[in-house]
Amino acid sequence: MKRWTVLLGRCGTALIAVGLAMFLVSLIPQATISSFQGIRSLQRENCIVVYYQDNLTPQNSLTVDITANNTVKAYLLETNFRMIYDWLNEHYPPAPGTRPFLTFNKTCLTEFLTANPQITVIEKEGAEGTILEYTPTKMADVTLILCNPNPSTVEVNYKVSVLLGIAPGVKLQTLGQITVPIGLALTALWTAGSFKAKMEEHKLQG
Amino acid sequence: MQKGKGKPFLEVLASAINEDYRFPILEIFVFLYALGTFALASFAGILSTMGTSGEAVAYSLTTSVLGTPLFVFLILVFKNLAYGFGSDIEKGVIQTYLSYPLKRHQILSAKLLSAIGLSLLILLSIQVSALYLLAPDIVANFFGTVMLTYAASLSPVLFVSGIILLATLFIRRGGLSLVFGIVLYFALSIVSSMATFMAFATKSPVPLKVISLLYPNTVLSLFYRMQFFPGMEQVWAPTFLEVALYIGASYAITAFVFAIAYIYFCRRFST
Repeated sequence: MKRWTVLLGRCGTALIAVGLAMFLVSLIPQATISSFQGIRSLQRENCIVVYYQDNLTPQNSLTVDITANNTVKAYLLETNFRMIYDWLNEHYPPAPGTRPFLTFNKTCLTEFLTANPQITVIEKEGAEGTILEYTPTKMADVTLILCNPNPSTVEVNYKVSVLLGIAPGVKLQTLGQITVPIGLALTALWTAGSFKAKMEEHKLQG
Repeated sequence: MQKGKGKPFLEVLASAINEDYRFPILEIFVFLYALGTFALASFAGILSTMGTSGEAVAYSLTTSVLGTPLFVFLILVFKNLAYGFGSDIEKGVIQTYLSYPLKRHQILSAKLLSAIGLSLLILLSIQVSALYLLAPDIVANFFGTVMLTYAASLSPVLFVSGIILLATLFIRRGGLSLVFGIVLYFALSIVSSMATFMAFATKSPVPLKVISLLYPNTVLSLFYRMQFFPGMEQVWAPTFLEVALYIGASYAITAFVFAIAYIYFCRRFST
């Protein structure tokens, strides 16, 4: 058998081994490590920070499930809650005697997002069963903001879950689906050659 | 004369690879590297220590995936060196290699390239790809830190590999040198832990500095503030230059051990 056939064949079997390992890891389910549920009444054209979480790792996933009686806009920002708070206090100082930063209007958020365009990771509009899924690619702080773009008040139910997995399952499955067939293709010639050699050896012995 | 030397070298290399990575040894080790990397990756270290910078995160993540796969790598390299090379000496296969139109150092290089080089290539390619898959931004932005962590962590394994090679050449028994290598590696690990605790107890950086010559991961963990003993940064807070010097020194010691093995194989070794 030619040497390059053996080399390709062994590269193929190694790829199959990697693919199988990835499949195996992707089968391990994620665990819910924290969950938070809430109901909010959003005034017209107002926004509110409903959730924030520091130090999310690439092994964490965040799932947000939103249900509202009218359209709402959800913004998942890759930033610390404190940064938004400081920016709003600096640009829109609260009136004396009022509690700062419980709600803010849409214009403030638009201005903040224009000033910090890189932090928006998900922006989604919907009413019934809007789901946001996010997995960071580095250590990240995240903040979830809900906005009411309508001229009337909207009731919003939301549920935020933080999941912990050992590896991104979907990515691994996709990669496994690529590496295993490539591995099989590379191994084909080597396997056929080995089989042929064994048959010949068998014939000679017989 | 020079033109013809490539092929015998490749012949010895191919023969060594064929011997070291017989089916399904390569596949089993590749599977274990991949599985171990994904299963062990953890950010727990960064959340429980003082290190919070991007480099510290990259260091912590890389260290977490190195646990079991490094042990698997160690077994593969030790097997190739002690069992593979040792049985070549015991069975007299090395005599056949010596009859090739090759210099002795080329024969040893071919064997080491197969035993250590290929294993290292497989480990690094699988682990770095897996790390990139897990945390692309961390690996892309702090690739230097990831490689520095590998350099520091692999140094003791390569040092013990050099000792195993020497032992195999001297005692000419694969099994015995394999046991010796494993015992030496674990003895070094125990001494490293004892030195760290001694430094913590006595507040003296000397044990840490001594052990960092063979275990440069100690100095690197101090640099990134990833030590679990509180107040270690007051005992010794190394600079990056010190880290580079200790890693360089550990590789110089390893290179010295391999140089002795080369010299012995080329000048004194007789079949």
